[in-house]
This record gives sequence, C-alpha cells and structure tokens, in this order.
Amino acid sequence: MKVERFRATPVLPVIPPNRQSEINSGSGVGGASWFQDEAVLLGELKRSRGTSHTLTIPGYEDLRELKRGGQGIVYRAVQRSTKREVAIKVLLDSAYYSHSGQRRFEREVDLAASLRHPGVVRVYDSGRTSDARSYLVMEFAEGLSLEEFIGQARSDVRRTIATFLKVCDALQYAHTRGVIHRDIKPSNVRVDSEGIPRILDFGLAKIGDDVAASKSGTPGARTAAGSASEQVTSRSDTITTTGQFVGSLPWASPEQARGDHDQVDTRSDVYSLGVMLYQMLSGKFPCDVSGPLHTALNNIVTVQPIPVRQIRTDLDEQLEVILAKALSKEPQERYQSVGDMADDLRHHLAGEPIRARRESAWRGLQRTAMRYRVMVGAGAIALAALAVGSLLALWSASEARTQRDIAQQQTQIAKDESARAMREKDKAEGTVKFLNDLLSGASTVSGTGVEAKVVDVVTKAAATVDESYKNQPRTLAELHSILGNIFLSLDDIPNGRLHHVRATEVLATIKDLPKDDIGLLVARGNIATTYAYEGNFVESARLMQAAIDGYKEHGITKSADLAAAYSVLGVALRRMDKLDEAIAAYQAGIDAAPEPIDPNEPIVLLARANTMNNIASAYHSKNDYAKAETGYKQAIEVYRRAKGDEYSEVIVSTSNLAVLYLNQGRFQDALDLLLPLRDAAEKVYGGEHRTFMIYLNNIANAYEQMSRYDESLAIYEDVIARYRKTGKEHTPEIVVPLSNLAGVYAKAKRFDDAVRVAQESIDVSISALGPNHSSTWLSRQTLGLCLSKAGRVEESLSVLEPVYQATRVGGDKSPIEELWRRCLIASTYAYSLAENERTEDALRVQQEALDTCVAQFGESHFASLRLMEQSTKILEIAGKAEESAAMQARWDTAKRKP
Amino acid sequence: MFTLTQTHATLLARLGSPADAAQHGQAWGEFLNRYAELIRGFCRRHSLQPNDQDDVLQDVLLSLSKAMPGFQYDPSIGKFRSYLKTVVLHAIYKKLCQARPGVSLGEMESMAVSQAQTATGDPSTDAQWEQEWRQHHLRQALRVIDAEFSTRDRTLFERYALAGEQPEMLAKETGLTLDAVYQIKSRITRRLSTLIESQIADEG
Repeated sequence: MKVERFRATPVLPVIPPNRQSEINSGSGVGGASWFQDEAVLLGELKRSRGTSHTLTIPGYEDLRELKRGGQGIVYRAVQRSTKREVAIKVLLDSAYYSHSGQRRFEREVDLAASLRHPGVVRVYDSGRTSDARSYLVMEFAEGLSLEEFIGQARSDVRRTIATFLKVCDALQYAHTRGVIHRDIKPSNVRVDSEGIPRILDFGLAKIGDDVAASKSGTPGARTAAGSASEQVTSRSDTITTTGQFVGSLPWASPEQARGDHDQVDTRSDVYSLGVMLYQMLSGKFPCDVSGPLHTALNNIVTVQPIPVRQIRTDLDEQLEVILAKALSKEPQERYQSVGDMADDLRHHLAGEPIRARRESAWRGLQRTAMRYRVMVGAGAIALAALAVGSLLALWSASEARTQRDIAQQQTQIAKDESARAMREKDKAEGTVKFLNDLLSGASTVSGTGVEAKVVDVVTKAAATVDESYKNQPRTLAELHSILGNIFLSLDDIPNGRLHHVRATEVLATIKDLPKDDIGLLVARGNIATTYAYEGNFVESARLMQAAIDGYKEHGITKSADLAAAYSVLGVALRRMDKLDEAIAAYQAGIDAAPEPIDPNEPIVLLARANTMNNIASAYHSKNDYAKAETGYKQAIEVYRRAKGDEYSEVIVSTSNLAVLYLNQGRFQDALDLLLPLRDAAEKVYGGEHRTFMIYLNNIANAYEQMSRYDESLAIYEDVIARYRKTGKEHTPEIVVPLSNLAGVYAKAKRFDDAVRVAQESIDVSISALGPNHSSTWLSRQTLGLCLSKAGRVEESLSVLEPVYQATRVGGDKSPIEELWRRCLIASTYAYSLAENERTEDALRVQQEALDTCVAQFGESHFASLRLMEQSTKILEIAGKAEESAAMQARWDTAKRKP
Repeated sequence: MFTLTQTHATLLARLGSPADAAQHGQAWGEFLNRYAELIRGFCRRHSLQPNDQDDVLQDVLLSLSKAMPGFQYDPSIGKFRSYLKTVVLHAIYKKLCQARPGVSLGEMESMAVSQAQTATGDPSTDAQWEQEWRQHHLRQALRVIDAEFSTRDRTLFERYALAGEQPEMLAKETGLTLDAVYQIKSRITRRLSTLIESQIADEG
C-alpha cells in the first residue's frame, strides 16, 4: 500500500520572469499579417464560434447586455410568456466543462431556485444556450444598492441595524438550505422602494451536501466527520472567483484572501457581513485595502481591524464587541452562524446583554503572532537556512562580516596592516552612509509623491553606486553584495545575481588581492546561492564547492558564512540525489557553525531543526532507518522547543517519522505517534488541506497493516468524502486514498466494493495523471489484488501481467522507483500465476523477487518478510509442502531479528 | 456596453500605481475583463479543469500584482504579451506539478520554473499562445462590433462569412440587394481588421 511522505524542504520563492530578456520571443507572431488576410481572419473567427456574440435564448427576447465579468455576461431580458423582466446570467464557455461540472451546476441551480424568501432574489430557470453555455434566469431586481440606501441613513444607527438584520435573516435562511453566498457585499443587495433588502447573485453560491445522509451505514464504522448535520460544501465549477474577487476584495474573508477556497463556509459569509455592518456604521473598511493587491490581501489575513469606536465614538461598546467577533481572523472564533450574529444584534437593540465577549489584548496579539508564524513558517525557515550573509538583517550581517573579516585578518601576516585597517574602516563607514542614503532617499524617488517601493529605491541607488564609490572598491563590493541580497529577497534573481557578480568583479580590480580573499569567497557563495534559488542545482553545487574549498585554503573552519554555504550545498546535492554527499554537507555545516549568541533564539533553533529534518530525509531516502529516526526525533524535539506542538513543521516531521515506522513495520509505533497529534494537524492545516489528508491516510494505513480494518475503512472513507466535498474527486490527490480504500475493502472481504473503488482509482489516475504514471500502475496493481482476493483469478492475472511487465525494469526506465515496491508487485503477479496454475512461472518470478529484495534490504525488512509469506503460500499451492514449511521457518527467524 | 475605454498602457499604468482603492480595484477588474478568457483558454490547452483555472488566474494576478509596483511600462524592453505568457506558464506548470503527490513544495517551484523556462522557447507552446492571443484580440474586437453594428448586419455577417450560407439566399430573405450583402460582409471584416491592428499596436 502506498504511503505518502512529505518533507520539510526549504521553500524556494516564486521567481518572476525576467522581463528584460523577453524581447518578442513569440513564434509566428506575425503581428502584422494574420488579421489583414481575410481568409485567415475569418478562419480564426470561425474557430472562436464557441463564444457567439449573437445570443438567443428560447423563451426570452429583447436581450440587452448589462454587464460583463470574469464569470460571465449578465443580460436584461423579457420572458416571452409572462412579459416580466428578468436578468439572465450566461456563463463562460461551458463546452469544456466536465459532465460532473454540469451536474453540479444543475444541482446548484435547483438549490438556488428552491430559495423562497422575501430577502432573496428568485432564481427562475436555467438552461443551455445554442452554443452550449449555461445560463441562469433570475428575477430582475430594481432599487438602490445597499450602499446608496445606507449612505442616506448612516446616522440612524438603529435603522441601519434593522435593515442589516433583514439581510442576516435572508442569508441565514439560505444557509439552512445549504447555500453559501461567498460574495456578500453592498452591491449584491438591492433595497426596494419599501426599504426591504434583497440579496442577489447567489450565482457564486456554494452548495452544501449533507455527507452523512449520502453514506449508507457501514456497520461499526465511525465517521470521523463529526455530527450528522455537519455542513459540508462542494466546489462549483461555475465559480470564477478571481474576477468577482478583485471587486469584492474589501469584503473577502481571510480564508478567501489566502486563496483557501476549500476553507470557505458559512462563517465566511459571517465575516463578510461583519465588514458590511462595519462599513454601514462607520463609512470605512475594517482593514486597509487601498494599496497594491498583495498588500491588501496580506492586511486582510494578518492585520487586526481597527475597533469601530475609534472611528465612530458614539457607537455602543456592544456593537464594537459584536463586530470584533464577526471579524475574527479564525472562522472558529467568529459567530458560527449568521443567526447567532443576528441574535446578538437583536439583544443589543433590546438593551439586553450579548453573548460575544471581549477578548484580552494579549490573547489577540498572541493569536496574530501565532497565525503569522504558521503561515510564513516554512518560508522563514527556508530563508534562514539558505541565507548566505543574511537576507534578514542586512546591516548587522554585513557589519558582523566586516568585523569577522577584521578579526580573521588580524591573525594573518598582513602586508600593510595600517592600510588594510584603513580600508576596513572606510568600508564600514561607507556602508553606513550608503544605507542611510538608501533609506532617506525614499522620498526623492517617486515623482508622484506616492510612497516609494523598496524596489524603486534600490534600483535607483544601484544605478549610482558605481560612480559614488569608485575609489573604495571594498566598500563598493560590499554594497553590491547588499544590493544583491536585497534583490534576492525581492525575488528578483537576475538582478540579485548581477550584483553579486559585480561584487566579484569589483574585488578583482583590487591590486594584489589574494585569490582566496574572504570577501571574494562570500561573494562567490552568494552567486552559488542564486543558482539554487533558480533550481539550477548542478551549477549551484559546483560554485559552492569551489567557494567552500576557498574557505578551507584560508584556514577557516568556523564561520556563519561557511555554515550557510554548506547548508546550501547540502540542499543542492540532495536535489541532485547525491544523498551521501548531501548528508556530509549538512553535517559539515553543523560543525562549521559558530556558537550563536543565544542558542535558544527561535530562528537559530529553527535553522538547526530544519537541517536535522533534511538530513533525516536524506537518510530516509537511503533507507538508513536508524539514522533517519534519530534525525527526525531530534528535529521534532527542536521544533517543539522553538514553536510548540501546534506548528506545521512538527506535524510534518512527525508524519515523516511515522512513515518511517510504517516502512519498518512498526505499525503501533506509527499509530502512537500520529494519533495524539491528529487534532493539532487538523487545526494547523485545516480539515481539507492536502497535508492533513496525507496525515489521515497514514493513520488509516497503520490500522490496515494491523488488520484493524473497520477503523481503517472509516478513515479512508472519511478522506475520500473530504476530497469529494471539496470537489477534488477527479484530481490526482484522491488516487492513493481510493486505491488504499479498495485494498482494505478487499481485506475486509467486501469484494464488490473493492473492485469498484479500485477501478475508480484507475479511472481518475488515468485521466488526471496519464496511463503510464506510477500511480496508475499501482492502482491497477490494487485492482489485480482485489480481483485475486475475490476469487476472480483469471481477470486478476490479465490485470497484473502488464503491471509486472511495465514495472520490472530497473533504473529510470521503470515508472516505479522503489525497488521493494517492484519486488512486491512481482510477487503479487507470481501469486496470481500460481492461482492460475502456471506454477513454474510463478515460482520463478517469486524467487527472483525474493532474492532481489533480500539482497538489497536484508531478511528482516518488512518487504522481505511479506515476500517470504507470499513464497510460503505459492510453494504450498505448487504442492511443495516441504519447501513451503522451510520458507515459513525462515520467515519466523527473520521476523524475530531486531 | 463594453468598449475599450483606454489604452493598454494606461491600464497597466493604473495597475502599477494605486491612486485610490476604487480606481485600483476597477483597474484590476478591467484587466481581468480583458485577459481572463485568454488565460483560461491557455489553461484549457493544458487540460486544466475550471477549478484549477481559477487557481492559475489567481496566481497570475498575485504574481503580476507583486511585479506591478515596480513595473515601468516600456515597450522597448519587451512585449507585455511575452511577459504575461511567462507568468501564466509559470502558474500553469506550478499547478500541474501540484498534481503529483509526493512532490515537495520546493521541488514544485523549481520544476515549475524550469518547465516554464523551457516552454517559453518551445515552438508548440508559442504557437498555442499565439493562437490564444489571436482569439483574445478577436473577442475584444467583436465587443466593439457588437456596439457598432446592428443585429441584422451582424447576423448577416455570421451567416454569410462564417456559416457559409449563399449570399443570394440571404439577399432574398432579408430583402436586400446582393451587393448590399457583400458590402456588409466587407465592412465588418475591414472593421475587425482595423480594430485588431490598433489593439496590437496599443498593446506594444
């Protein structure tokens, strides 16, 4: 059974394209001619027929385009039969949508159409246009938008709240029917002439299915999903979040801003309502969304809203508390339903106490800090691990380096001590001046008076630095290094490299510069790092090794730069699959690190833990289980010390260690490790996050290996349900859980289910990954196994034969890498051969598999043991009772070895 | 009615310098109006499902918004379309790499980048991108045509020039002269051509 493992490897930043080099590289751009040739032009036009611009929808006439968005086009029209005005939303190009997408859309429409509430704009109908696009027919809602309506009435707080409550009621109604709006904002609410607000555009609605209802009871199975009435959501294919999203930015919940669409549920609507009420009462948004998009998104996710009474001092404290609760960053901290929020508002209007409690400022701060850490945790570690010099504290690093340089050089025989000392002093002073100019130069850069961006400032500074410091080459080199690091931290690799290269060039102009000058080594190490950022690990390793050799020639054994250089080298080597060398490099990095000032400083601990985890991962890849286990445990220990239990890296490392145990056949140990952290994992990642799915998959696998099939099934089924819930049922991620589920069904003797699910996993795998992907082969393997267990031996053989043939080749020709897995596949095939009475072939294949596995992994490896069990059975089927018994004995002996 | 209200350069400039929230949001909204279908079309060619297309679109937006603040639109440096292509490809490949279980995030990024790097030189990807771009220009131009020409003329054009119906039949049906039918077709065709030409020039 396939077990998923992931590693806490450094996260490389997103690399933007180098605009400078993209000069018109499009082929056949023919910018001048295709549209001037009538035949070509018309040909292209015909090709675009899918989006016809003359639209007819039967039953409706007088279509007039109202507006166009990322999701589709909205028309105003007249229904022929009733002569009433309607709005028709035609969705983009559904010709490419899958069958299931279409079905989902139809279900959505049915649910939306079932909403009958005075506060909800009716959905009347849906259908497909002549060119196969889906459309939705809705009531045409006249009236003011909520914004316009409130603008007139802001001062009357009670009236504002009363109107708002009507919106709440409508939304609560929709929620209880399983419909989430996801795009609540004032422009989606129309207020009619009687002051009744009506919510429109449920076209983005997400529909909730009751998962418990769809599960027919498996005797004894527990659902890990919780209560039967849990609201679950499925993602609609018709959602185009981004177009609407940008316009709806101020009302977007943190989970929407993060892009965690899987996490969006009714509580996201609560958040949006909170923003709306805040806006209605104060005229402002709770978070600053006025800047560039990524700043705005970041603010929504991390910055606490300004308490509303700082803007409107006449508001009641209760309102502030209610808003604060609705606007909590964490969904579980908010009102859990719109109804609850409405209740508190009603209590407030009635002068009664409310349920929401003001939380202490300390907790709020703590929570912000924790959340921020969890989110950027991986990135921060990566940067710390990869930093050469320092990306984090530029000035202090360069100062430190300067001082180290000074210290080092004082132990050598200097040709001209005083001159050198003078140079260092110049350099230090020059650097200070440069940075001051840099920072103070901000106001002179941008002509519009808008706050300058770092990149503008730096670019301008970079242009002048060569001229200003031409007589101070060491300083100049230092500055280029700083600039290089700044650009790297801004994800601009080309400019980053440019400046680091420039640093070496400048140093080269210094007369009588020793070949292994420290500054040069550091600069070379920086250049090597830029290659790692790009993913060019071969080059990175080569250059870094050269730099490291330079340190050695210089007699330097302990240096932060050297340690960082080893760390980067280790990453590069591991990515090149040179595991032994990677481990050696990591180890050398640990040895080379000077004592930190504060060894318990979190960033220091994290860097160390990350290195340990990487080393452990490398050992794990090499199947050196003992060392891997030690490494993981150390890493977990240090992560815990630095960040506590509910921290992503702890979860990841724990899961990795559990996988190790599973590989070793230590199933109970794996379980003991995984179960206590299960809730933390869910909390950190969220119930539908891929990482959490892997985590659950591993728990289920442990149960399965221990033959606790009921528990295993419950979890696998839960995992599958979660995938379905988030619309991931046709993505590659579901293949392994499906395949695992099939296997367990088979073991639990539910053969029909087993075969059905195995087939499903193959189908998904083929469509998502391709017929020759390793996952597809493994899924076929599972099907073969299930058929075999079901007694359908001929079918089983016909399925397993091609799997065996495809995977038996070694090296990079085989779709399956791990040798032990290939041996097990061969063994399964052998067993099937035996069942089909091809005894000679069976014995031959099995022997080969067993010998290979034992030779590579030893007798006591869990795969070897499995193979011995198989051999025992095959020998028995072949009528070789003595040899079968001998094999059994061999198994006994091997199992008892530690 | 949708019309091209501003030049491409102006739009990019607005994206780069956020004067105020409403303007900014609007600028992005227009950006999306223009390019969402193009990007989706390209995603479909890579067999991405609508869910994943949404993610790519969002990714592209985020990448661009990070780059935008420093973005000085200078046509001599390179066409916007090439730049956009690289960003889109990068986002697509990242998405495709996410499809492979067991691949760690770091590996994903570097795979995405190296694939994007090779793809931008790959003739078949370039051809696809060119095709998508043509469709994009057609869509833009057609919106103007929608506004400028009557339903009758547009329907006629569609049936004659695209569906290949006989002009004589169409003339009879509509009561127009044969010559008039020819004229309508050529007028619309020419208008399309001019529109696209100015769009491309505008785009830089």
